[in-house]
Amino acid sequence: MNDSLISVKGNKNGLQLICSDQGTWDEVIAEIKSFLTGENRSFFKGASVIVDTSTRVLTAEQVAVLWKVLEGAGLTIKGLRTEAQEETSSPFPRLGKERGRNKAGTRGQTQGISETEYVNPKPVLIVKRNLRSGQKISFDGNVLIFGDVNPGAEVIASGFIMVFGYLRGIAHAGSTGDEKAWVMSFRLQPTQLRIANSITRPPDEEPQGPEIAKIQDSMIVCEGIDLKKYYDITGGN
Amino acid sequence: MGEVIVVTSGKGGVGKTTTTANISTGLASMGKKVVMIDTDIGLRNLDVVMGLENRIVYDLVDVTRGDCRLRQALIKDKRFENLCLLPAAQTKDKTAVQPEQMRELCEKLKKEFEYVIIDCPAGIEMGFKNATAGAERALVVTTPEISAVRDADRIIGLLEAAELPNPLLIVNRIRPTMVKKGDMMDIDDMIDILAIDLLGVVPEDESIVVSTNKGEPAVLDMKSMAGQAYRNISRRITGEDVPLISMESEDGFLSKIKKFFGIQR
Repeated sequence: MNDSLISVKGNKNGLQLICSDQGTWDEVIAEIKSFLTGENRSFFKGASVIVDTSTRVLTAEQVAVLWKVLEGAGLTIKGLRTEAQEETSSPFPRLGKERGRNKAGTRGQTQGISETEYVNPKPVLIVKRNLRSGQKISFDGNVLIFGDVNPGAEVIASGFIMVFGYLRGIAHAGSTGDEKAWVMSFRLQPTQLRIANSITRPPDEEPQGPEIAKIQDSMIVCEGIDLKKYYDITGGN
Repeated sequence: MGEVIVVTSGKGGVGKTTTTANISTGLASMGKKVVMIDTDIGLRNLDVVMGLENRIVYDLVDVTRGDCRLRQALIKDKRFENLCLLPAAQTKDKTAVQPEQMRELCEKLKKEFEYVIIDCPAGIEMGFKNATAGAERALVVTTPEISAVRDADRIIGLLEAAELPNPLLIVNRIRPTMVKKGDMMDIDDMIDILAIDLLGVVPEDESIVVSTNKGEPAVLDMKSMAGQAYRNISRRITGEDVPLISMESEDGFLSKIKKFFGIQR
């Protein structure tokens, strides 16, 4: 591991496998393979690591290979980190198309949500359960919840919050001050809604459809969204 | 091997103890071997509701401390041979029992009994952790009040965290006339929020007060509406498919079978 392409560090977040920018990715993989043999293999077995790829941006195939190698050696990948400045290849190719199309012509019609709101480079936390009273999610990134957020529960995200269910608890999007953050829910009836530094209480009448709340002229505004407009994003080409 | 069921609610006064007493008695009347454990240390009630207060010699803390044998502490019910009660201690020391000890105790009891029903204290502290430690299934009792539903929601979250998923809901003290007028929370509203399966609905019934004071569980009173509801719940626990009865009261008479829907796990 002297002047090698990889190094292993431990900090409070656990083990970090740092891959250098030098050499090709294949060389790095080969290095990892040879590193995880013999004594090291039994030592690292069962560990979970965060892989730091420095400025390198991996394609899906490269990630898959990495995954296979580490998994094969008995390690689990806790996360991937990169310092890359450039945008990674979009994980939502269809969305990209949609954006292009919007710019070309139909832009005037799709107000509701502007394209930039869909894509922000933050990580996404996916929660597949109901959040019940007393439970709290606090995440530096975007939060997607497939379930209800019940009264007494709290969701705090530095990015956007999307609830595929009832939102009856407290939601705080853009908690670090991002005024472009928004909150969307199939039924938006939060106890309290916060976006960046604004706080509001929802109107008393029950919403009849999916709604989105965002900041407009330094006020939180809720409006219904017509999901049909976005059919292209979820299906078809 | 028996089944260990905990009756819990979060909020106090919603009828956990009454429910425990009635379900246990109901199951015993069907010929099942049942033991109740009162885990509300310092505020024991289950023995009073069962009318067994004057028979207590040893209690839960004595058993866990090893001051007596388990068999010595089990009180036989005066109505059913196959129903036993392990009473809580009346000492103030809530930390006298540890979750690990409860787990062991439940393991022992379920070898001998078909149902181990645990009466959980109100709150979410030590007592709750003790009561749920050995449980395999949970029944959540709530009343049609926002505060009770909120606490039930919290409890369901904690049960999920304690790896006791899919608890069943018992809605207690519902007044059909008030629900009809829109003055009381609808069962649908509650299920909507709590998102768990309904085991049964117990109507508000004066006979419960009388039976509790007399130490005779209402489930044995064939004329009581609440007793009927508890009988049905007991049967559902054994796996029987019993439709939910309607609690429509017509001209003061509790009759009429109407929808009132029913989900059974």
